[in-house]
Amino acid sequence: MSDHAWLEHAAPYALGALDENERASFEAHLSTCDVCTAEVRELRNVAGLLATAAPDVAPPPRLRERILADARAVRPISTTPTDASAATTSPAREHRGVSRFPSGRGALIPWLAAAAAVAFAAYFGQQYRGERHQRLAAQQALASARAAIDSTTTAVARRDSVIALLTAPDVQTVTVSGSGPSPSARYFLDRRASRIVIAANSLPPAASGRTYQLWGIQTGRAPVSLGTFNTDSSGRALTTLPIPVGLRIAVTAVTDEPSGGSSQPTTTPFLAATWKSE
Amino acid sequence: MSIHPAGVQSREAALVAQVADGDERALGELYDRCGGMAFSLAFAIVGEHADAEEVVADAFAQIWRSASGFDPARGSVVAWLGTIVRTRALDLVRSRKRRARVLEEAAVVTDAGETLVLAPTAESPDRGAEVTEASALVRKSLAELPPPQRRVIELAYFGGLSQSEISALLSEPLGTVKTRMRAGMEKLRQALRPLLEAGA
Ligand SMILES: [Zn+2]
Repeated sequence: MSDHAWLEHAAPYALGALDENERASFEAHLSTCDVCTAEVRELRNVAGLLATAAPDVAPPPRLRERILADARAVRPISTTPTDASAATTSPAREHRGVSRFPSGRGALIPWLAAAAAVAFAAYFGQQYRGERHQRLAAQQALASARAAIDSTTTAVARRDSVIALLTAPDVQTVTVSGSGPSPSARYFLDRRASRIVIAANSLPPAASGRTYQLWGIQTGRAPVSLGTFNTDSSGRALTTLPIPVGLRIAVTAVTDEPSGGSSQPTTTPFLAATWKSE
Repeated sequence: MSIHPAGVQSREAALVAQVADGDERALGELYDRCGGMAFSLAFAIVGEHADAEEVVADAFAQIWRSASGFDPARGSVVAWLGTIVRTRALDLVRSRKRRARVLEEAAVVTDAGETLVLAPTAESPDRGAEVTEASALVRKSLAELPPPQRRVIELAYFGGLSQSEISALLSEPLGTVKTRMRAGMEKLRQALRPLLEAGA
C-alpha cells in the first residue's frame, strides 16, 4: 500500500484542494480502487470534522423560522431504497429524484462503477444529479474566476481572515480607511496568540529609504513599535507581526518611517484603529 | 463516523431519515442540533452575517429536498451537512468576486473604526454537549498541528483554495504544500480517531 502513489491524492482530495487536472484523474482512479476509496472516505470524515472548528457565531433567531417556513412551502423528495435503481436508470427521474448509492462494496452495481467518480463527488457535493451539469459549468466558471482571485484585494483580506479567525476563537477585526478612497486596511488582532495581522490595500509602497511601521498604543502610554512592513507595487501588504508581551493594545496605527523603523513615530499616524479591551 | 458517541450520531442520522419522510419537526430539531455549527462554518467562510444566513437557509432547504440522499454508511451527518454548507459558502464567495471589490470598499467606509468582536458566543443551546465536546477536540487537534501544516489545511478547507493556489499565496513550493497537507491531515486523523471510530 505504501507504494500506491495514488493515495497521496486522498488528503488533498478530501479537502477539495486538488488542482483540476489531478482531481479528474484521481476521480477516475477512485472508480476502480477500493483502497483509495476507503482512504478518501475516512479523510473526508476528518475534513468534515473541521466544520466544527469554526469559531462560534450565533445564528440570528429568525433563521430557524425561515428554514421551517421554506420547508413548509416545498415537499421533500422521498425515495425508498427499492426504487433507487429505477431512479438511477431513468433520466426523467434523475432530475427530481435523489441519487442514492449502495454503501457496501458488494452492492456496487455496474452503473455505479461506471459513474462512481461522479457519484462520489455528487454525494459529498450536490445531491442532485440533475444539478451536476450546472455544477460542472459553474466549476469551469469558477476556475477562471479563481485565476483572478489573487488580484483582488478582497481575496487577500478574506484569506487572511481565514487564517486569523481560525487561529483563536477570539480574534478581533477592524477595517479602517484613510480620508478619501485610499488607503485602507483590515487588522486582525489575536490577543491570545499575541499577534496582529494587517492587510493593507491601496497603500502605495513607501518611498525609497522609507518603510511603513505599525504601532500599538496602550492607553496612557507611548506607542510601541509592532514592526515594519511595506506594500507591493499593487499597493497591498499582508503582514503578521508579534505583539510584545504585556502590551495591552487600545489603538493601532501606521506611520511612514525611515528604513529600519523608528523608536517613536516621526510622521502623522494613519489607518488608526481602536480596539476593545480584552 | 460520528461527531461523537454513537447515540448522538444515530439521533442525528435518525432525524435526517425523518426529514426525508417530510417531518418538519425533525428538520427543526436537526437545525437545533446543527444550526449553530452550520452558521459558524458559513460565517468563517463568507465573513458576514447576511451571507452566512443565506448559505445556511439554502443548505437546510437542500437537506429538506434531498435528505433521502444521505447514507450514514458514507459519513456522519455533520460531515454531510458541513460539506453542503461549505460548498455553498465557497460558491457564494466565488460568485461574488466581481462584486467583491465594490462591496469591500463600501464596507471600508461603513465599518471604519468599528470593532467587530469575534469572541466565542456563550455556548449556544443549539449545540448539544457532545457536539461541543467534539468541537473542542477538533480545535485542540488543529491548534496542536505545526503552524505550517495547519495553515495549508485551513486555507484549503475554509478558504477553498487548491494546493497550487496555496503555494502561490504562501510563496512556498508546491511540493512543500503537498507534503504539509498530507502530514497535517494524517496527524488530524490520529488525533481525531476517537471521533472517527464511533460510527461507520
Ligand atoms: Zn488507489
